[in-house]
Amino acid sequence: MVKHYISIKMQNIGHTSRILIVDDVQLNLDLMKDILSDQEYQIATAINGKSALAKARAHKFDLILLDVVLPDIDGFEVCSILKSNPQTQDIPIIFLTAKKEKDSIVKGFQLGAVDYIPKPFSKEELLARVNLHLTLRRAQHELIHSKEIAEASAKAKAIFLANISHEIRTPMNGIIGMIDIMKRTELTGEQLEYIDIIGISGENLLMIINDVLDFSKIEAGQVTFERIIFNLADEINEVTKILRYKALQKGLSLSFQIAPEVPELLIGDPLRLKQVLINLCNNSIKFTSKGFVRIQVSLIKSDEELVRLYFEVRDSGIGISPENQSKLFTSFTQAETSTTRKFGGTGLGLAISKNLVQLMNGSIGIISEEGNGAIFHFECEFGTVTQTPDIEDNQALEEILNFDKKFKILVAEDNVINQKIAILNLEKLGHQVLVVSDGIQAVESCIRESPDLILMDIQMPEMDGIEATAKIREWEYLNKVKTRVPIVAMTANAMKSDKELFINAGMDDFLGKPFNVSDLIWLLNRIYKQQEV
Amino acid sequence: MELKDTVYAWEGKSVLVVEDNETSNIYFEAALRKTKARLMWAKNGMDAVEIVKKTEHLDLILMDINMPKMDGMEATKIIKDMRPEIIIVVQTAFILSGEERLCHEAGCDEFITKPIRLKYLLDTINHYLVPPTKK
Repeated sequence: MVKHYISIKMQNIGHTSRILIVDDVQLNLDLMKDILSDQEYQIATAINGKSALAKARAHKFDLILLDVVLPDIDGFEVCSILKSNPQTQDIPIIFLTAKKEKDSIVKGFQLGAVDYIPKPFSKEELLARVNLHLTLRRAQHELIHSKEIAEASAKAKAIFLANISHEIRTPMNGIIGMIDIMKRTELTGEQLEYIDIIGISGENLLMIINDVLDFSKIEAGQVTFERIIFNLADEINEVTKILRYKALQKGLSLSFQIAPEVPELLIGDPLRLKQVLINLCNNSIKFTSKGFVRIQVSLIKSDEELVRLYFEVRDSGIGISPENQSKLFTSFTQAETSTTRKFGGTGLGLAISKNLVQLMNGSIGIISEEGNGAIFHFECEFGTVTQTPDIEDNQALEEILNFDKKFKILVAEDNVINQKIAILNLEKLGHQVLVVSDGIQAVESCIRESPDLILMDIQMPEMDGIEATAKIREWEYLNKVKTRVPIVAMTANAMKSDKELFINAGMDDFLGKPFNVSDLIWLLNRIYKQQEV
Repeated sequence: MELKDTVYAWEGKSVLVVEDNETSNIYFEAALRKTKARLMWAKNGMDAVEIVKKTEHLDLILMDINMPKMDGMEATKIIKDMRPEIIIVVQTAFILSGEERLCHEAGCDEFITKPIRLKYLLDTINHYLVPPTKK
């Protein structure tokens, strides 16, 4: 087991209160000491500023009574020194002042004092004020202490869940892994059927563990969101693919529909979006015995920066009564306790979905009538993919299409979807494509394969596109390569200043993401013409 | 099953499995035996580093994280420092988001979580041992 240690800073709460009295008149000191020692206080005294500061640093006081007029450093200065030292800044200070002038009182408060007692003072007033501030201080300590305990226990809970998840996953690996292995051996039909049942049970168990872990991550504020370009239809298609088998088993139709005005590409976290949709669809499939489950997506608004979408998961299931609808998105709650017995599940799926949607700047809700199906709906926000303008000049395009030079093209790109887009488009045009996923591999592959062209992503792990380009140029120079390989920057954030940066880094051209076939054709044509020159 | 259609042939390739859990080791043995790759074994990070020092030809390491003596994160750092060309695939039951980032910072090439799916494991290793462009 991995050990994590948590320390709770203990606050000293229960001790006898310690008070420091600072006054240059011994008579006053004796008088106050006398009054206060009737109570169970520990009293210390100082007759000037310097000795007050030294004592305050050496001992932990709960309260300081501070005279304004002192022979060496005056009370105001003593106060500001104490307040600027982390060791002493929390000690409440009450000024003892003979000057009744308003401004000296105000100055005391501005410097951080909690109160003042005008001299000459009455015994009752002194006691009352001292008691009040000691009580306040005690209450404050208790609050800080409780807050620390609460924080420590939240942390302990998160660590415990992470550790327990690890401990559960390890034997799960044995179960699920060995099922895979066993399926590769010679088995009878009956054995295969049993193995499948073990497999499905294992997957269900894993899903529950994942839910619990996800939930604890959300609670502990540990969820992070990716910002990558993804194709919405592909992701939703994936969701239906994952759940199709489940729906089929119950004879339900599972479909999706995306309104035509919804942008094809979005920037966001496709995994988290899928997780929400899978949770909602799973829920709908669970509570629907016949009919359909359908995902619908429509556009709320979009501008240059943000796209706001409306998602709906509609089913023809048993529906949910209004009083149960409000309970739905709360953790560990299902519509009724009997639901758990009948339908199973942790009751965490919807709570997780609600939290994830909120983290994507959206909200989730339900429209339903008991016995009449349900519509789970949510809104959330994505980044806009700035599209490079389409090239409509078909004639020119066709002309270019006719050139028959085929390139060997190296694509350096860490995002799998973007890799696929590039490969598909380039292979469609008949070019040979090599793919690497970081800058170091790009340099190595360039040296080994000597490609005709490199499409280089700018932001990559290990080594970015700029550095990789510099390394390639350096290698070409050292090896006296005559025709340097054209390198084209690929990036989603196409700013004019960036283009200059790319050219200065030794790149030849620039391709904004996402790009389509015609962008590629134009680019290849430009490169081809440059090479001819 | 799809598996039967895909052949993973890694003859002449060497794979080091670093894992302290006995069941996991049995799993890796069964999963990788048919690929004909040469398999080596270590039960903690320290042993893994020693094997890397002694073995001239090593293509890929399957590295567990949570191990006695020296954990996988540390071992990954040391090995990548000595032999950056060796591919390191971390395989762990820790799935917290920070864990993956830390492993990548330590220099690992891939991060896969337990329970491991056989096809995913084989495809991931295949991607490195048999580069897709040369297939």
